[in-house]
Amino acid sequence: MIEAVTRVALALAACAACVALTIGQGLTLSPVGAIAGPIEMIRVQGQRAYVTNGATITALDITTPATPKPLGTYTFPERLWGLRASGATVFVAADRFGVGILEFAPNGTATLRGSVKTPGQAKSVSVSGTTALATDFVSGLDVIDIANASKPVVTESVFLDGLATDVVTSGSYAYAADRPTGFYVFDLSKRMPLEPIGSLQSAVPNNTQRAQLEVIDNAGGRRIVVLVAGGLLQLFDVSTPRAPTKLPPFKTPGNAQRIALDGSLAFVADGPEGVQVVDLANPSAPRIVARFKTSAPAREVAVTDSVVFVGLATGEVAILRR
Amino acid sequence: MRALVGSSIVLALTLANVVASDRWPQFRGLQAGVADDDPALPETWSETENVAWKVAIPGQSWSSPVVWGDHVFVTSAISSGTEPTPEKGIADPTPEAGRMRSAAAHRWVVFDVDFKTGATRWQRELRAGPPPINRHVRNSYASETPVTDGERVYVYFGSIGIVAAIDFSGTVVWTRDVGALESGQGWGMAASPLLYKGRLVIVNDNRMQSFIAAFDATSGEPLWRNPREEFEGWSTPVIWENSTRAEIVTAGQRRVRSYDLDGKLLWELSGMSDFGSIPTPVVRQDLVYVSSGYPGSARRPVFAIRPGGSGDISLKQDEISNQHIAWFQPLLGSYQTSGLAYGDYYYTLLDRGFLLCHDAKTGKQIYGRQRVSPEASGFAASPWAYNGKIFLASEDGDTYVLQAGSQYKLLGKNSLNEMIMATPAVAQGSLIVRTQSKLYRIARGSKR
Repeated sequence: MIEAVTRVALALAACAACVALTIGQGLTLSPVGAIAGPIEMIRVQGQRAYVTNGATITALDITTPATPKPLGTYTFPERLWGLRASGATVFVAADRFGVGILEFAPNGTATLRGSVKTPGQAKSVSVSGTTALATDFVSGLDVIDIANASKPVVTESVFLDGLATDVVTSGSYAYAADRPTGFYVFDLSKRMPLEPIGSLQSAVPNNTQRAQLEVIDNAGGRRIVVLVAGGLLQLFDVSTPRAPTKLPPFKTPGNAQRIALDGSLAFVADGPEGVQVVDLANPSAPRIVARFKTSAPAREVAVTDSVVFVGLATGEVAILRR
Repeated sequence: MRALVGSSIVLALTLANVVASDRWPQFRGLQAGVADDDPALPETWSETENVAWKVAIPGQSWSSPVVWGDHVFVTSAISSGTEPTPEKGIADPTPEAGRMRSAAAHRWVVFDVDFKTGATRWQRELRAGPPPINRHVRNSYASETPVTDGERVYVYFGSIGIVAAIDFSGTVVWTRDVGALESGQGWGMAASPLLYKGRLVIVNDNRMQSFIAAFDATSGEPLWRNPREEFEGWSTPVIWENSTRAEIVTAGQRRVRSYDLDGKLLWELSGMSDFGSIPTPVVRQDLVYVSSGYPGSARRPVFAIRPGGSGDISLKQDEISNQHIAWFQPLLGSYQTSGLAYGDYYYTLLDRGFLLCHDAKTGKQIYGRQRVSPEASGFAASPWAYNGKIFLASEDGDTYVLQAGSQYKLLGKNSLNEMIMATPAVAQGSLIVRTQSKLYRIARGSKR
């Protein structure tokens, strides 16, 4: 699907009109390269980036972040909606195929170690120890035992009232969102059956395929879950898991599509407004500390210590030095 | 003339000999999915066990079979090309997820299948050509169930805008072109025609000009046609003979509306789900149950409505009942399956494979969500019931059999191993099941 050829000159040319702004924290973003598309999702894990297009996933070596090198690809039978990486292992939610566990060897060879069909369409996946959680349009939240990665097994399902769209784990907790507005907290240490220990209705209408959840373990001493949906950031304070609270939603200048976190900094793919960097150290008062106007609407984002990968509506990925 | 009189007598005798249990003349039969008890009816089956016959039906259609006497009628849209495999499960609401247009020429065909043998008595093609409108990949170009009065079978193909009457010998008596109109999001059509006292009623909610129209069933002459403020919908209208009057109840996305037999609006009700309605209203004596419920919608209501309403009978904020609404559940509605009122209970089969039970008169919950099977991909066919059992056909082709009543109890599973979205028919001690490519007559003691 992609040749993953970095094209610094092209990117620089494409971003000739791009504007980087630094607002207060000394953070600037500047274009240093690009990855040819089309690319839909990007995740970064250590020295690797994983990018998807349709049913295909490609591993990239980002040892030199401005010039990623393709390592290998794998194509599933169904479209990939969700992706989480853990070391060399990648977990994918592949629609009616279910959940796949993929490993990329150092030479780039991809091996499907195992998979399990979920009842409907798998939309996202997250992992905590030997348990994977997958959102599925039919069954809700599926709990998958991955102790034996070659034979993952769905052990139970938790009904979510709406259409389950995303799940994220942190420590022994999991957080899930459904469409249109549900938000749920689970304690994975208390199972059989797994039930939400807390839930809320979000103020953000989750009316898109691409709702996303991420966790900030320490935002000014609080644990915060960020839900990106409906062009907004909905922040939940989950410091007391049984009593999550809803903070005021944060509206970025554009149309928030996806986020990537670095500590309490949220890099937001903000649609027509490019990338916004939002400081969530005080989640009650988020503030934009940097922004970068991309050459096309930004719809995906991933971040490393040194660069930001921004998926554009054109399918190309812009690489920004931070 | 003598021959005409003679044939009329024969016809009258034939009609007189067809009793209620011998016929299933419309979508979900005459009692909203409930068949008269009959110990001969099957409760277990497979691809070979209790199968009187199974025949291949070409093309793709999710319309249900209907039965009158020795006749089983089914419709189909038969493509000359290769069509995508229908997807199981819940459809995504995004435009790119599901909407499609087939460029291949299709033939829109009505089949008369011999109830006893499964042989095709005749097939009648009503039109051929490429489909003029889009459809959802889970829909078909022939999803409307025909209706029959024992003299003719009436069909409506919304995808080509044709209404037609065909007599039992296969002769086309009349046709009317009502226009092929694109549904709001290009997901095609599905609302079946309604037949009542010589009137054939169709509802077509679309992005151009939604309407409800009635035709003289004998001649096909238009009787009336009224616009509707709707965008899309797939719910079949029903006749509600209540203690006050007979009325036509329609479930729309924006409004539930009831019309008198001349098309005059009697009452309307807001508060439906924010995706087009699919479930067909359920009539049970002096209540009609109306529902809709896309799983991703914040509104998934079930309303139990009393007779006699006029004007706007909508609930006000925080109301759960009023003079005309006996009870209301805000989040009970299913997306595709219709409700089932059986015994003292109202059952809801959620598309995602859960069954719930409420008191039919009061709406009080008898039992909450019960997962029918962790393996099921989803449910689109509406539930049916007889002999104190409830039957739920999954899209995987598995029919789950449950004990009716206040306790959830799964009794068994019958597999045909092919996708089912059409709601079966029940008549003459047999179950007529349509899978993606086959038509089965399931009857006790049969073996293949």
